Amino acid sequence: MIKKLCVLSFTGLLSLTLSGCFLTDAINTLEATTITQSTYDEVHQGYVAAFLVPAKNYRNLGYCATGTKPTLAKPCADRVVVEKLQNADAAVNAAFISVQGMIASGDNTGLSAAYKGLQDVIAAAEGIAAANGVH
Amino acid sequence: MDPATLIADAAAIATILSEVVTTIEDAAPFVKALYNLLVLKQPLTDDVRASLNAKEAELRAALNTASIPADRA
Repeated sequence: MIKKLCVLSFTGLLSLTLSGCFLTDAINTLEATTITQSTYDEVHQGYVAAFLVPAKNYRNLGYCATGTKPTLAKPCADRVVVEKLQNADAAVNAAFISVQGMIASGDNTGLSAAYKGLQDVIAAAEGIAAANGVH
Repeated sequence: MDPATLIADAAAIATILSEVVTTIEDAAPFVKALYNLLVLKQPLTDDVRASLNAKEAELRAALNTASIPADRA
């Protein structure tokens, strides 16, 4: 009797585990299939317009003289902020290249994770811009 | 209006106009892209994507340029 229960529990556990695996796979597939070229294009153009344009304009102000801060009368770019913007953009660019490569090749393995990573680095970049008045 | 004021005003207007033109030039690829995505509800066409990618490369190069070393303040 005990042996039979154990077999039943083992079967139930295996069934649940397998169901969990199938569910996870199904969710991954669903998420991956919703990340299309159009999804990428929307995010991409949004990033270029909302981050790269103001970041370029900020950089074009010219660096502040050492020991000075930007003012309305004499706007200038803080070297430290520019470096942060450059590094953040480099991370976003690498993530875009990765996601675009997966979409183009039809490789859905890891696409959801890569897309999540892309969203995270974009949010970090936009956070740096917002925190430093780059808009 | 004396000549000095006129020149100063003209310079100010020219500066503002150059800013506006720059903004329009920057915006053009995005307007096309948004039209594709939001109005046509289609992926970007090859020419629009190429235009957007070119603008992106231009902006990134400007962000990373070392050719504006002048201290402004």
